[in-house]
Amino acid sequence: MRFYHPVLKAGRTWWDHELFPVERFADRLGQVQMVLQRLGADALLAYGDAQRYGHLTYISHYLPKHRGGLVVVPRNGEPVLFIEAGSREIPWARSLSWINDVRAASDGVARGLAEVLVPLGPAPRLALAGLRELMRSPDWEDILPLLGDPSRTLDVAEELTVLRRTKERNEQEAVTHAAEMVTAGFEAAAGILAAGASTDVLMAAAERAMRRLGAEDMRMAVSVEPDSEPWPATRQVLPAHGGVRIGLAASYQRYWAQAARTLSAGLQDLIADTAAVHTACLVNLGPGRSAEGTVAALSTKFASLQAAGVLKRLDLRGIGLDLDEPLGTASLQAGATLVLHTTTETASEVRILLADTVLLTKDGARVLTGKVDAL
Amino acid sequence: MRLSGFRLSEAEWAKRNRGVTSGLEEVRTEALVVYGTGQHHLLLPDYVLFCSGFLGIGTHTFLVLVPGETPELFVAERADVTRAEVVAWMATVTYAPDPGAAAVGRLRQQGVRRVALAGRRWMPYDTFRAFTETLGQEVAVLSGDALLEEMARVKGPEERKRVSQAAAIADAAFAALLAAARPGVADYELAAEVEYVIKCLGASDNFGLISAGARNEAGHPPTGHRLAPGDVILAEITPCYGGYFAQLCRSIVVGNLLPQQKRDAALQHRVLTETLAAVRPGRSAATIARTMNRIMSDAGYGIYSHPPYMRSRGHGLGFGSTSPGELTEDNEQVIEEGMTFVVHPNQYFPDSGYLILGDTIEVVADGVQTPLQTPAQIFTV
Repeated sequence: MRFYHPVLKAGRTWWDHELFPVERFADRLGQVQMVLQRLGADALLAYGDAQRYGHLTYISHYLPKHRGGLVVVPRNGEPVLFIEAGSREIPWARSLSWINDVRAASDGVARGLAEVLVPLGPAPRLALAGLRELMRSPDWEDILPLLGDPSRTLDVAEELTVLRRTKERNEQEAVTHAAEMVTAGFEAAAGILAAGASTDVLMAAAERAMRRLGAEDMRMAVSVEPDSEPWPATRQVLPAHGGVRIGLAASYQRYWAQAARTLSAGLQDLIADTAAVHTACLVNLGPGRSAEGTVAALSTKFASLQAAGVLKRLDLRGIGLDLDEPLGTASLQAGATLVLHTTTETASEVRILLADTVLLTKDGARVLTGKVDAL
Repeated sequence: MRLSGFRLSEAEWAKRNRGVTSGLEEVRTEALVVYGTGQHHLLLPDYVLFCSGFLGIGTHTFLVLVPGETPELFVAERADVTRAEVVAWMATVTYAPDPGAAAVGRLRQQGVRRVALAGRRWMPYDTFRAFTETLGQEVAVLSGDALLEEMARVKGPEERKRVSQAAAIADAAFAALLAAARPGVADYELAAEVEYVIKCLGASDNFGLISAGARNEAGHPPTGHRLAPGDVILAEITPCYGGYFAQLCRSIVVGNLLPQQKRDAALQHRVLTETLAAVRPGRSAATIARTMNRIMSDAGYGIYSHPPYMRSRGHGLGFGSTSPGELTEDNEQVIEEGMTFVVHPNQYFPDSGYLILGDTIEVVADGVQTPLQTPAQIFTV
């Protein structure tokens, strides 16, 4: 599910030292430096912006409130964090990250990066993650001369993604906490669900509930019959009959959880039928199979519903520091955090959407985002 | 229409269309391609929103404008198609997983040899490279940013009305904040109330920060600080209504004002008042900044009027244009009637910490007026 991205993070933004002690980042730094050593790279440059910050934040724990940041990790030695903000924001950035060397780069990172690369020699071999995809083209062109021969640079996004795929216990706790916020958001929305209410008031209530629990950032989308796709909230009024589909996501300590629900007084039977399919799918999730293989197996299990056009979509995605994390082709491992979307549609084209964030354990999937029938 | 409250009139869109046409004629260019990121804020206005009324959901959007032809909007998300069809002005909407390539296809159909590209500075490198490579070297690409900035620099009556609506929402959100602020409440809980009011009143977003502390160095997102007597709450509230922003900056002391806070807040109020009295069409952004810095310097706070303590004394509230830009001493952009921007003599004071005070203003023929109703003062709760 796609969401509008708030322009500036206005939620509780801090570093929970108890959950993410500095030692955890030393471990991550060591893992990243081992990757650099294995690949023969002299340093890693990982860029992220306020919307997609997974690689940057995995290493630094820094969260851009808007614009972006760049972390430079030498193969040996301490990292440097550049924030695309003024020098006034350095103290705040330092409060979010374990990295001591934080530098302001409100006019782009080129000048500062040049200084940081000097000790690496005249033609360092650089590993990149997130720069080409996310860095604005003028900024990229500014740093391009510093990167040397393009054929020698390495794209290590996949290597970092693999490091991030299986979540440690503290990461799982952060996702679980974010999931509690999402659950509270749905409860708040359900509490005021009534014909005549506008979707912006409905979503404002959900947002407030998540923010009150300390959500760092959030994303929301809503759709009301007959629209089939999620929209940002509007003044659109809820009808007396028909469903409203809501997608909510919240983050805690940079880690996301996400869920979707279809709420309606008049569609309870349909929702219950979809919930039965969704729950059966959740029960069948487990480690040892790839994401694609998992969805294929679930599709086979519900082939008759698919053939009848009732089951429109089953989708399994990773979630963590990014709302949508690639799962790759390898077998899913215990410790992965995933989002399963189940969409059904009736003959009259009423669409029911359910989605949940789950934690894979060796015994199966643990649903983190509250029970479907609790609403 | 579900978003009719946000829609500008047909006359306004026609005016923008004419502006694009004449702008392209001036630079002898056949088409304007507008790129949008789906992130619209006052420092990074989404040009697609300005040109079409549509804001994509967090991904690439391309709008192709060829004079005399129906504009075509290429969206990368299937989910965006219906919404775009409802809200976009006069545009044909096409779903395209690679909207840049689809835009190039449209340009080729039109036989375009020279194109202006607006929004390139927000484009990720891969997106820009793919667009220009697909376009090929035979098509000249020049920047279209100036064309849109020129059109959007001065706000018309419909636009100023939306700024006023955003200002009314900011006033209401500030009142809610005052009502909720008391010892024991966390800064993020205050932010929750502010965002709630803003969204309930129809704003789509808020470029704002609520923070609090006994001695602030700058504004930042909430951290979990619980209010205690003596704290200063920094409330920067910037609702976005129909694409238009208004900003309100106020400080709130929990408990009684200390003598130094009273003194520093009075100075800040004088700076704002004297500065606003000096803003006229024809003067520069730099003049405004210099006026503020001079009064602060005369009061002994010169060192705190420059980085790392303070950088900008206000800024545009971008929608299509960020004019007049940052209110800094080196910005010589001329102020014009119809511009809207925020003036904020926010200041770090050694005895009081960081205090903020700022109003959104509209430049009129003989000065300025503000659509905000909240008194320009320091508050106590």
